[in-house]
Amino acid sequence: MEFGYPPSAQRLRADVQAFLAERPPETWPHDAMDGGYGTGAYSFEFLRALGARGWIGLTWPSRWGGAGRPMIDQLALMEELALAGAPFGPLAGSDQWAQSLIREGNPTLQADLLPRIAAGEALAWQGYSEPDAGSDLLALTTRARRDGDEYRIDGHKIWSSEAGACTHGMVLARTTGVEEAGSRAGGLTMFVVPNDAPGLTLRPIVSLTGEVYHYEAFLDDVRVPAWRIMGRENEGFRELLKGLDRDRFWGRFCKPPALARQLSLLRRHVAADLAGQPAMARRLVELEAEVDATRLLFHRFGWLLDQGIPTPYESALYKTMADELGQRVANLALDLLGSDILLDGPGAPLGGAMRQLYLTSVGQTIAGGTSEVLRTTVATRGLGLPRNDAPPAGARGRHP
Amino acid sequence: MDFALNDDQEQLVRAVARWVDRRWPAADPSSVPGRRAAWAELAANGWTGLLTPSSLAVLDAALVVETLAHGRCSLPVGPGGMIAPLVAAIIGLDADGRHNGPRADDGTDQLLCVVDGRDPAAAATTVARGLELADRVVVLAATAPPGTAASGWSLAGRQWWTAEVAAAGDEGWPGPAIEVAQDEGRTMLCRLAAPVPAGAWHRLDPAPGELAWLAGAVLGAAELVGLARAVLDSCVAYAGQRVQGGRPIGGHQAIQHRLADMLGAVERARYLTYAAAVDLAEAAPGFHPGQVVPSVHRAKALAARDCVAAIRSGHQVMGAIAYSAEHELHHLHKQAVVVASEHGDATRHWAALETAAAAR
Ligand SMILES: Cc1cc2nc3c(=O)[nH]c(=O)nc-3n(C[C@H](O)[C@H](O)[C@H](O)COP(=O)(O)OP(=O)(O)OC[C@H]3O[C@@H](n4cnc5c(N)ncnc54)[C@H](O)[C@@H]3O)c2cc1C
Repeated sequence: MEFGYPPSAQRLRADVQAFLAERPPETWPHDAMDGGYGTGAYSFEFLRALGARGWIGLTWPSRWGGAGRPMIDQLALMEELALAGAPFGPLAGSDQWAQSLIREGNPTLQADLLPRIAAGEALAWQGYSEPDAGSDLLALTTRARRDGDEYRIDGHKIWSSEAGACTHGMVLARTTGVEEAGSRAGGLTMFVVPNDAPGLTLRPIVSLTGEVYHYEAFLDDVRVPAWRIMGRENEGFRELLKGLDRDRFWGRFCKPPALARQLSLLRRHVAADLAGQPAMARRLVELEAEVDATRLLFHRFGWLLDQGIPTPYESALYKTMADELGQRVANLALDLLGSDILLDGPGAPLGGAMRQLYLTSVGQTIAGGTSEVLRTTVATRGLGLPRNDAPPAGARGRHP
Repeated sequence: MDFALNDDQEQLVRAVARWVDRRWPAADPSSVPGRRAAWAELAANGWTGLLTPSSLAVLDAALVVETLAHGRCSLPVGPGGMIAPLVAAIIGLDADGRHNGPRADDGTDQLLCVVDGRDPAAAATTVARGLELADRVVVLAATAPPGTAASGWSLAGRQWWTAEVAAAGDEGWPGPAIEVAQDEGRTMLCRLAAPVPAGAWHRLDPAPGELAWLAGAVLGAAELVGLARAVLDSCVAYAGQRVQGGRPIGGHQAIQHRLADMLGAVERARYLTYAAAVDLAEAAPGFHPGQVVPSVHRAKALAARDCVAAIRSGHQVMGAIAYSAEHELHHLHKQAVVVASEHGDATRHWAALETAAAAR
């Protein structure tokens, strides 16, 4: 067993540190909210700077303009950015989008999107959930029907994170009825819908932090050419499941290093008072240990994925653990800062960083599959327990 | 980054698992002669000689301990089988020229130690496992520098002491050295019958003393992980078989989620323990007294807290059946409670981390 990074990844870490020393994380403008995944806010300028260094397409094959580097280098890149508190919000999602395009996209879609993704100029939102399709995603009612070389989509999506800051939506819609498809998981198709497609309306939803985070998407006879199907027609849900492990992995990989950073900010902030608060000092070291151990689990998970070893339950288990750990860190911040934790702006403790952590932490255990649904996944797929109480087939969770 | 065991380690784990599967129940774990016989087999296989002053194969040792515990072996392989010979070997190499430490890798001369980390006076009141199997006992204790209690607990500045005594009693000891404090069957708790006479203590160099204690902490974490894995496996099997209301209890979300949480706790402690083993082995060659190896403290503290909690949670999954002394769960539970406090309980390891953080 070997727990450190190999030399190539170490060099990359040093490059990232040098890049951030030249222009520190807090100097980049923000364009969309920090959702609390450990990847910070969206900053288009920052994303383009990463693209210019070849760090968006770090692991893509060279034929798609990538650097063809091993996955472990990407772990090093992401971890370093998270430790520094950089605003790289959409980076992991972009990479996953590109990876699925490389895996399943048709040549037209690939040529259209990959160069723009690599440059930090195309970003995707996920249009899966609907008002009546949450944990039970397969209850979705958005429909697409074929009309010549086009599809016409009608429906209503909700909770699409950062959709207004992105350029395209990944919209899951039913193209074949359940009966004809033989199951609820069949007959669904994933469409890549440009944000400026006529008939698509995005309505921003202000989140509990006061910023716009989610969007509701109304699709009213939105026409998309057939080449905008991702993967195969009627196979959208199965393809979504195929990428699920990696999505959940990358969606939470940055959480432990970001929590490590947040704990060290907190520790510094309260250092002078800590001697008089033994209970808090104890919670701090306990959480530091949990963060360290959880970070190790994600390293192992990344290693398993890289080795092609099956991971039947790891994504569900480790995502839940990271999210709930984030909530425990947020609770400690609350207990240390009291109601000041709700303050934002110049007078706020730690510049409002703990406010963001605290408020967004409540959404983490819901986004991408709730902790309840995922614990059931761990029990049934990881431990082999029977599915008596389980949600209908295909309980969900993909984004971010 | 590589989370695979190497070929030798794979083989080691397989061999130990095979042994515990075939030999341990056969060796009559409920009787002292049965446990002694099993102990001799372990030693004969060379599994107790993995830690020496010049080579601390901590990960290999941890894998052996974890695998045995997972196979429900209650022998104190970590403290008695590995740390005691290590301390004995250190005594053998003592700069004072003292060379009377017990040596026994052939299984005839059973080595076991009370490892306490508190002051020598406390050694006699500290319970330890497996002393009933001992021919000789190695005691390891440390005294803290004056004034440290107020500023938290740490290893820094401690003086390390060791003593060894024949179980039947040596010259200067009033009768047998060991008394049984609590007989739990597979896990007997014993203690020294009398304080170690002042003249029997020998000073250890602090670096090897601390290293031995820290290695014991890692092995304790490994044993806790093995025990919690064993409990999780039984609970999962039981939840799949036990039917109430016409369905297996493992189909209820309340049970499923409890088991998922147990799995998470076990995995987190497990990989942190491996990392601690690797970190400690890396730190060993140039180790200086007071050096903090955070992963070691974290691993032992997390394992002590979370593996014991997971095992307690196992009782809820099993229902009344595991309230019975005939069921194995209470044995595993009690063994875990004892392991959790050997080589520093969670409180002490958290405190070591607090002290280190405050000094930064
Ligand atoms: C921060 C955030 C970001 C999001 N981003 C996106 C996005 O980008 N794109 C997108 O499509 N969606 C997104 N979502 C939506 C998300 O996928 C859903 O919120 C999630 O799947 C849960 O659905 P729901 O909110 O309707 O809750 P419900 O499914 O109604 O669940 C409510 C409660 O009931 C419990 N419950 C439901 N079913 C079961 C069951 N079978 N067993 C046990 N308990 C159950 C849940 O665990 C939860 O506690 C986001 C949500 C959040 C909070």
